[in-house]
Amino acid sequence: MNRVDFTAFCGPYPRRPIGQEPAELFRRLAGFGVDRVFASRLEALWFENPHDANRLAESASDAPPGLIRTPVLDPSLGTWREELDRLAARGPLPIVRLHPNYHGYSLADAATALAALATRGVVAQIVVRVDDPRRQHPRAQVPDVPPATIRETAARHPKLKVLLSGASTSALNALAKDLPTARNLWADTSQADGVDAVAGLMRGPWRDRLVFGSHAPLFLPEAAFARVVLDLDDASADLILRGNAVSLLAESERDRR
Amino acid sequence: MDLARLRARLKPPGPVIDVHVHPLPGRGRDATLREAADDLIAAADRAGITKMVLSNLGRTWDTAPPPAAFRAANDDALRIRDLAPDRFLAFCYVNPAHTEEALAELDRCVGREGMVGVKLWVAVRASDPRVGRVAEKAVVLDVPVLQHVWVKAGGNGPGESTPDDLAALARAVPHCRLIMGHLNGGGLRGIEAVADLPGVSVECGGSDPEAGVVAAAVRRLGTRRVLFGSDVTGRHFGTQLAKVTGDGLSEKAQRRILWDNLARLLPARAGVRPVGDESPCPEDRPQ
Repeated sequence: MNRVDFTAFCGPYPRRPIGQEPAELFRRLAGFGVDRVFASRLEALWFENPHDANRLAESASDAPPGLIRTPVLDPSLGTWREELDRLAARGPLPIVRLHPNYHGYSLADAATALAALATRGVVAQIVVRVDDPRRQHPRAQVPDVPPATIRETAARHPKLKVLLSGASTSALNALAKDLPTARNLWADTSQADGVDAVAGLMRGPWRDRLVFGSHAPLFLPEAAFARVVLDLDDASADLILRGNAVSLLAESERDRR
Repeated sequence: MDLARLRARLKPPGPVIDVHVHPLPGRGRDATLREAADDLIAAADRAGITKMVLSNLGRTWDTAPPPAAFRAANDDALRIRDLAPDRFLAFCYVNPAHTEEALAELDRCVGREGMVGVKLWVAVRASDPRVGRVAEKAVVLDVPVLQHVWVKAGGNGPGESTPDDLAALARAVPHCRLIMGHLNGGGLRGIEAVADLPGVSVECGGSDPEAGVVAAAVRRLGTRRVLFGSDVTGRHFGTQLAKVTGDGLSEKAQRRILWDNLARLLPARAGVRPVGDESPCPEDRPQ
């Protein structure tokens, strides 16, 4: 494994014509040395049954081996357990993505599903935001998932590995003090913007818990790499781009055995 | 690709002038002006930024500053500029609600202290006649006006301009060199609002590094009316540069956006001259 992108998307984007299918997305990221991309279908945000988007991803024939189809699980659907069983039966299931804001449930309401993920050793990637709420369609606004509730979820489910995805720099800084007691919480860099932002996080407790997320193709991959590699030495950048990902995935794999 | 090559790949193709830099509060409310300047220069060097145009909103970003507050902010901008005049230029920040004081501040900062533009934020909408008076003054002083613009899904603030407000200003003061701030904040609909107003340029600072927005602006407005801005320090120079360098534009178009287009808008006394040639870009061909 070289570089790992935990936060990418496939499929059409409803706001602008920038969506990419798996082969195109992977090619774009591979140009930066990424050889493993976790990508879910954007349709999962808006489909009436988000699990239909998982089947759409499975039917795609052009997905390169390094592109990991990342399913979205909606615990508010009565059939979430059936979907989880189905996904697990298809092969290794290292991670699923959750969008409580788009799918209209609280993380407290999802406790049973989260416990099931913990039991199976599946990482729960809980996404704070896909679009800046200010930039959303004025008739289809989706507020952020409060990052603190994701931290609380990690505390309530100590055996669950939680990947906090799309949190801002200020949110990550605010949570840093909790990390010594939240050994099951990781975060991605997909929305950590600002001068010296990622470098600042790497000087604190997030150092061994930050993984790379590009948010491609909605965001430009150049931006995702710039915030990591321009401000960090090689060892620190490698931790985000590879090392911490290897640790998270290895722990997840160990839990699944 | 090793990290050295990756870093090299992220560097811009030529010199870069950033039209939208907020120097304070910097690393914290107590940062000295020297620390703010040093931090900006260090971050700019890492990303490949050559020059920065400061718009100082003060340390607390009061949305409707009284004259004493915008004067103090401009004083700090001048001090930071003078710490590294080869790296910094400065725009004069005023609140048009205090019209006479704002005009006097433009006389002081632009007329006598060498500031090279005007920065307007969210105190008064650009369609308000008081902003028109500030824009007319900018014409007299031969400087551009950078106006914050957004279209927020939840609604703009009472004094916060939309692209339509800016378009109204452009029609009211047609000789003013207007820069519509926050291209991504105004979005694709914002581009349409100013498409038929050749005196309006757009700058891409602030907001997320969304794909396809700068490219859309170039398609609609051409390669001459798009400028680079970052909105640092809330954003990272590199994430904002990516909007220009990562969006599929030719190198020549990138160079125009990153340097030449603003060089043409600034007064000669800014000392920033275009470096590119005048031959067409691939994007200039009819599409």
